[in-house]
Amino acid sequence: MKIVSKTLNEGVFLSSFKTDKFKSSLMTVSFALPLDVETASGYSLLTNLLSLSTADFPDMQTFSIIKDELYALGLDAYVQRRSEILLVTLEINTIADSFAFNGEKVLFRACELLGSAIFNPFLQNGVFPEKNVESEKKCLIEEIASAIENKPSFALKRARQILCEGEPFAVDAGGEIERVAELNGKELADFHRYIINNAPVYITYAGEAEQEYLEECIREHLHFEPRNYVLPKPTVHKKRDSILRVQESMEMEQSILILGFSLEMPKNARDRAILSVYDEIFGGSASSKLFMNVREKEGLCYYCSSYPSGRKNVLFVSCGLEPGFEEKATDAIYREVNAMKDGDFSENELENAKNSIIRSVRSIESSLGSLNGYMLGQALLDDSVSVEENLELVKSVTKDDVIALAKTVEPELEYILNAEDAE
Amino acid sequence: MNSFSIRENKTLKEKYYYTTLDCGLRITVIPKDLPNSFAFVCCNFGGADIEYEHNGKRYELPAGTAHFLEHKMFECADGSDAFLEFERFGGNANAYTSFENTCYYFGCTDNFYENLDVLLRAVSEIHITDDSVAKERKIIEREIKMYEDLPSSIVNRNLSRALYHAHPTIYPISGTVETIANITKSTLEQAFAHFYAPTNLSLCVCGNINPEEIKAYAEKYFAKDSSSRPTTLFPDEPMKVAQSEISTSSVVASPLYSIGIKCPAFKNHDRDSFRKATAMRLAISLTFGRASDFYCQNYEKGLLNERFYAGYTNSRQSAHIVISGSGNEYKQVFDLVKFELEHRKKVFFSEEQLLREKKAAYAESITLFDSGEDLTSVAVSNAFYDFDEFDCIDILRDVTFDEVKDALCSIDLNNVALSIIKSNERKGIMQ
Repeated sequence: MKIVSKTLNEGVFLSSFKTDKFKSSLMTVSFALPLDVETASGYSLLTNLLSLSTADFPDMQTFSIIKDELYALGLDAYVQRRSEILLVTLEINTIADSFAFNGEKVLFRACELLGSAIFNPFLQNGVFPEKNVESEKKCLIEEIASAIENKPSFALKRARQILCEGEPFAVDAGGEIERVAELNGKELADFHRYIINNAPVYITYAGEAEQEYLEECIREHLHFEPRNYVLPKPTVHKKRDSILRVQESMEMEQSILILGFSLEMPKNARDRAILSVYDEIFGGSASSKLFMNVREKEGLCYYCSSYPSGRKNVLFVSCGLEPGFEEKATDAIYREVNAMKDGDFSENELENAKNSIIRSVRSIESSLGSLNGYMLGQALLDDSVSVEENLELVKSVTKDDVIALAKTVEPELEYILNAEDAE
Repeated sequence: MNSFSIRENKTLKEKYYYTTLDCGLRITVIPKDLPNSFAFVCCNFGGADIEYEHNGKRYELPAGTAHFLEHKMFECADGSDAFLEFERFGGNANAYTSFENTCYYFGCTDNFYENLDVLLRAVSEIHITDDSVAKERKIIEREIKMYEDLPSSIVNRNLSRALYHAHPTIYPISGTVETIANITKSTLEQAFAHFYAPTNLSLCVCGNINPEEIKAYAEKYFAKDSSSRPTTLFPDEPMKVAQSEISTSSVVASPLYSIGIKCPAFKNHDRDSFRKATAMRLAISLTFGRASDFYCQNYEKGLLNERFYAGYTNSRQSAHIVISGSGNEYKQVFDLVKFELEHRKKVFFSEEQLLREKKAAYAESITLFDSGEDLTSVAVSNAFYDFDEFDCIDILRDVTFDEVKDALCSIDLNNVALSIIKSNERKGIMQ
């Protein structure tokens, strides 16, 4: 897999993959920042403002029209988390030049628009206009509050907040309602200046453009000055002495059980490979122990899955249950945790799990989204390895490796979001 | 002798092979040079199939039968699970049910034919017991409850109940806890016997695949079949809505609303109906899309937010416009939507605006070909119709200004319903 990685300037990186197998192309520009409760809300609101308008297209309608003229250009801005790193990302999803009418250079024009959104937002007297700030605050507050509507992901978020209280891992990339409400146009302009001048920049691109043309587009419209940077290292979760049991309730039809575990911190690419094999066997697939036993054999739930983090020593298991079955499900999940410790899985299961991971790595080239996501993830790691090396690492994982990791998995949290009947 | 025919689109640099076997099974093979190959089997049996006629006899099924059967089709003769078989060969398998049909599929990087064997065997046989049906009922009950906890799902389900009197779309695809209680082993066996005949199935594969080999594999599992396809019976559905407003409460950040406008349903899902639907979709995105006056002006006034959505949906003998969003001002948005539609009937858009909208829709259409999985899932159900993915792009290009205008003018605002989920007073978590 031929990913071209370049340092364009100190602290400015480009990873690209040329492919003519798609009719569109995808470019992302991400600014990496420490995930911090003090600043997450500001960056989250900033992304909303950057995708709303630019100095050249100050109202959202002219900005939307220009995007439609560029074949419904998907110009999007969002915040995302990678373990304890906050990423402010702007992306453009464009039609490939070769499928445009009349030979238009869509990528070049799209980069111009992206550059305009990044470097030249609509400001008045050097600050984001109050009207836009207040309108986007209302939208973001609604968005944060609406997280409560998706109960499984809300419960997982609560479990993360409780288990990792005080750690950056507990912080929500989307921000907090109270902090968003206090932000103003000047603070947001400061956040904007900071990312433009100081934050490390990671650009990824997958599509048909030749490297030379791609770099020309970036040189013309996405030029970043050098910057000193230190990417924050993930903190190690401090283990608890006893299991923390928390129950909350909400008006809903089924209860949600989240179990939180600590485990050994993955230190390098090989550790991450072992963790991925462990997860595949334990709860990360439709043939995993959790799916086959807790869902299929016991019939306790519709879903039961595990959620590890490759850069943090915690793991969660989530399932939706009929109220009253929480204890039975907890026992069933612990049985599978212990089965992993006891090595209760065959060499065949191990090989199937490894092959499944190898196939997913090979499948990265099947979609622009996964290509860009993979390139960004690798660029953020200071010990990243090539795709080929990664495949070799997965192949090298032994049953003893998985058992050794399984033995470090310890329960720390039993969180139940109880279903409470409507009155 | 069933040889393959070829359809090609030189502009898109895409082609596919298609044929129908003697047994009635439709096969489509899409060449694609990506690491993953896909195979989808589609059964023309979905949530809307509740009453039907087969070989001159009428039948009725509990709502949710197609979805229940989908859950049971990966159960093997020895009681094991086809998922494990797929895993053995590196296949990533799944299934889903819509109102129209049920699809089973896998994606893989290796062992394509071994996985295909597992898939074809799974959909050509049924192995269930009273016990396994009872156990699955519990799992499906959990799935139903999971959707009942999702307000965005409830608001649209309630909208269907407000718009329609008797059309099966008033039932969730997975049925309700009450309806699935009536689904037994014999219900599922009867549905399988009637609907899973090869005349009612299509197979579509995508990847570096030899069409002739696919045919040989399919012939192994599907024998010649002379049974006719069941005919779904739809109750008479008046144009008037069943209820003008339906309201409930749930744990939501602010009220969720879904405005529905009932439209004349198409008797058949064919090229002509697709063209009319395309004209209506363009009319709706011109009026309410992200670049429209309506969206931009009302967003700036704080009445709309990113959750706002406007679209047109037409399924089997049902069709309606949906305009949904969130916010306390839903009554005002409801009035503004009606006002805007009346206004646009008098002051329509320009040719230039339509061209821009078509350009955007064209870009969206061709990106379907970027995903082998998405393309196969669309092509496998299109095999039952008289148009394909290439036609969809041609129709989009050919739809005229007058057709789009006529579509908008045909919207009858007497047939409007509003579904609301109000914010529960005791919203949020209680510790």
